Amino acid sequence: MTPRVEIDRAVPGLERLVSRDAQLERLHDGMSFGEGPVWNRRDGSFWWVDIVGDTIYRRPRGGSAEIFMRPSTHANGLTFDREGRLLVAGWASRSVWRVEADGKVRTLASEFDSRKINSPNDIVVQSNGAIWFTDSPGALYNPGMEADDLQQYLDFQGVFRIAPDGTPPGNLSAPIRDTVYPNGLAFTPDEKTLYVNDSRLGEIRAYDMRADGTRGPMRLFHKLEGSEPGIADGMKVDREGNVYCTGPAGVHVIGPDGKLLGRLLVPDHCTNMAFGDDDWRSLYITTYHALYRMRVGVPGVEVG
Amino acid sequence: MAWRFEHVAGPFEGPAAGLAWDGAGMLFSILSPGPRAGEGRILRFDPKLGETSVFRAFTNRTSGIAFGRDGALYGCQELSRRIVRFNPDGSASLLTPLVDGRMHNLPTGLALDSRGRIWFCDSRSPLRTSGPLIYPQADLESILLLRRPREGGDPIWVLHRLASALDTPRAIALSPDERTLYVADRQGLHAFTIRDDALDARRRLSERALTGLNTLQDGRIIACAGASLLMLEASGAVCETWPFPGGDSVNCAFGGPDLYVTTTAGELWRGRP
Repeated sequence: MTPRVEIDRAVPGLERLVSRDAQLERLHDGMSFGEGPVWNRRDGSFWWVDIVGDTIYRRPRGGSAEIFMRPSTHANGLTFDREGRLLVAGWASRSVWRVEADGKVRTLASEFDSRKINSPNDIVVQSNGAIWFTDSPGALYNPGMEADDLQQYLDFQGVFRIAPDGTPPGNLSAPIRDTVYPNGLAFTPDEKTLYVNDSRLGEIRAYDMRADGTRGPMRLFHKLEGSEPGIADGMKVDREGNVYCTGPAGVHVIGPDGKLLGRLLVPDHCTNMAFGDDDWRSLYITTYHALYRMRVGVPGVEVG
Repeated sequence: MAWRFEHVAGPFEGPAAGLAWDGAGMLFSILSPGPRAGEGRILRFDPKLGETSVFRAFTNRTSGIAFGRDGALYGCQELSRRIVRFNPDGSASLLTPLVDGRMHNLPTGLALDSRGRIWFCDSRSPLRTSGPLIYPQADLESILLLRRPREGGDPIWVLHRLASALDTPRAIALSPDERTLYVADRQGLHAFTIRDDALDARRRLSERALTGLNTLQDGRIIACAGASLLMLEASGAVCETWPFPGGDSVNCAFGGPDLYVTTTAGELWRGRP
């Protein structure tokens, strides 16, 4: 069965982004904690993870899900860099790592100021090759997806940047340290602003970016609405600058001005989403247990 | 016996709870209610210097603490629903949280015996635990036992549920001969006879709701009862009551000849004979 997407709190204009007839197609289920969705533009495959199930999945174009890696260090966020290499927010590995063309795994970041980082949650790459990732402490505290070492050493839970040049650990900086539980992150299409959501605070923050990789002051972009189950978790941006962010009841669609355009009510607890398909106009949504896909009106920011 | 109580540390930013003496200083846990993930600390009071320092930060509401014979500190990490080993090198390790294939609830107090076994009490709780709500709490309030099937370096732990149908068990202590396990819940003080890795039927020794238990070498028990401390015979009969000037007591433990007491106000007090 392919249910119609339920929408609430819609304002005029949402229809252009999400049709009232949009269908939610279930592509995969049976997971414990789906996350990390990303489209691979090079071969039309779709990738995601089951954090608790300790697996990275890959779904070839026109095919069904296959296991890419298990165990996976309870991998969480995935993305592709400009060379088409898979980048992984390694969660329980307490590191960010990359799968090289020959299949070998290379660690890109694991320590800051000679101390272990927390547990990388989600990850995004800028067009200049800089890698940004959120470093919430979930693998240190959350049952069922623990790191081997449960101790938090850093006295902040922030957002890190891996410079496109240089070598570890000197190429790692921590431009954002004022977040409590940083989770999803995404750039505006012009990459002049970085959005970071905070699961604990239930809000999306905006940071204006400087050319040297530092950032301006934090400003509150949006406070999530609703008391239903669901938190600020995954977040993506479309080419017009609209923000798609998980929250109470499902996916919240927010305009570039920070105002709510409407909420997509998703069955099951929604964890993340990613634009995909060749026209970047499909929104893939992960929940605890399943992977869904729906069509949208405005293409997402391309990945990879 | 009478005690002269004095305030020695705090108040800190949340209730003080568990206690563990390391031979020269008293460790005590703080249950910070702060908004940050991982809040909570274990502090160390040095009686020679009269100073308090941080033993371990980011303990995620670790409550009961106790040293094992291996020299490591073990703790009940409530919001992560597990027993944690705070390793001497500063790292922390997980002991299995699975009993009969399911996660237990929130551990509060623990006691370690001479064989390295860990006895702990575990309750349902309305506290918001860490992470996604994909492991619902069981409708059980229990005594659980962690043990290693083989002595020595084997890091594998197994977890058994020994008793249930308790009412928010908060404190646990072993008799000096390790043949009796005392557990305090909201219905009173209970005693279980230990038989190998199991418990025989429960006996209720007292109807007093107690929050901290500490056994003496002669078999008597010192317990926290709000603004009083009690001395009980092994039978449960109260033989002495001492007013405690520090407010609501939480737990008590000896550090040398001195009796240390934690309080809901986040303070550490010391009683001297």
